[in-house]
Amino acid sequence: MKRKKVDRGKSGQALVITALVILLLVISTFYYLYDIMKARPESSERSLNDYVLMVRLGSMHTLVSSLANVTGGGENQLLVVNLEVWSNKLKEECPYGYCLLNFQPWNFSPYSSGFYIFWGDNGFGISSCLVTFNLTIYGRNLQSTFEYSINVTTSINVQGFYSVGNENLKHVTVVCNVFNEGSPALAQSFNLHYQNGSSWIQVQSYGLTDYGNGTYRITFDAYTSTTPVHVSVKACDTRQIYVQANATCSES
Amino acid sequence: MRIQKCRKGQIRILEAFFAALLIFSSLFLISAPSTTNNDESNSLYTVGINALLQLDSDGSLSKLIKKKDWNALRDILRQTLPSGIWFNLTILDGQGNQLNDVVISNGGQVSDTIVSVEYLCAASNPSYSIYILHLQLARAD
Repeated sequence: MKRKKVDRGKSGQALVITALVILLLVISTFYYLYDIMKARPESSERSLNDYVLMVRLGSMHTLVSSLANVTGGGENQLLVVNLEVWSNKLKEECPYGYCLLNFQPWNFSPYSSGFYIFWGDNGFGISSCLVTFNLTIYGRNLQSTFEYSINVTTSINVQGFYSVGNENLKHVTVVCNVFNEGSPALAQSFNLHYQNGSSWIQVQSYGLTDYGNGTYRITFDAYTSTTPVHVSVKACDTRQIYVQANATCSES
Repeated sequence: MRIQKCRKGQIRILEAFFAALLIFSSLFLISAPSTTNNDESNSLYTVGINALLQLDSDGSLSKLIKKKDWNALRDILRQTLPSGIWFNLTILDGQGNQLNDVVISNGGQVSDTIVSVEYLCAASNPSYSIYILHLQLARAD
């Protein structure tokens, strides 16, 4: 009976050691698997950031396209139509599973349906579009939400002066400053008019000095009996967005 | 009877050791993830998408597509991507029709390991359109 007790005791010790070895192996297996799984989120996170950047760029281009179209005479509803096309395409081509882009055109003063287009008589004109976005991405082990807003703005400042020539001839000089999102920007073309009585006459030829920093000096001759001279400048920036401002020139 | 009981215990221990050995050996059967391959793919993906993001940032990507200037697009990609990287770009319109009628590539495929980058490009010109770009990349072996 004594011998039996000793045997049992030894067998138990060995089992405990074996259990510990197995435990060690199980732990090492879990650590090994954890190490494998750890590497994946980093790479997917990096590609997710690139994807979000792509969506933001596309959203911005959609706004630029819509604003260019609307300032060129298109309908205001085009913004929502274009954004829906963009949102649907993102949903169709989502690499993660499900991508949902919600948008809300800004409707608080001075914006209306995402647009603020003010072409004033005081030498200042602005064409602007503002939309807030909410991007939600659902995927395997992934759910991310990104909120951002995009503002596309082209503005112009116009100042002018003139000197009187023979009879109705006026030598007009106009200085324009073009801005994109508040920073000086280049213009692609200008379209000028001056007032003669109650009608507006288009300037057929003008001299243009481009200072390369968003500042332009335009000179032309106006045949008008109206004093002071009223000018209207319509500029198109490099994104094909139009902006216009009217100004009253002072006699120099 | 005593001897048999003693042997039973030994066998249990042996069984446990063999089981442990089996679990341990199974680890070797699992192919270790080739981290170098993953890193390589991630790096190629980043290079590719950054090149497209850079081109698209000022709207020049959609302008080149609209003008169907495939040669200019190939030259720009050749300059933007590091040397030693093979690329092949396919451009589709919103309906999935292929737009480029010539191959936009810098030569023959240099490796079997190809990374694919899908990019959606919205045009910024007044006539709105969306393009789907498939950029395949491979690094020379």
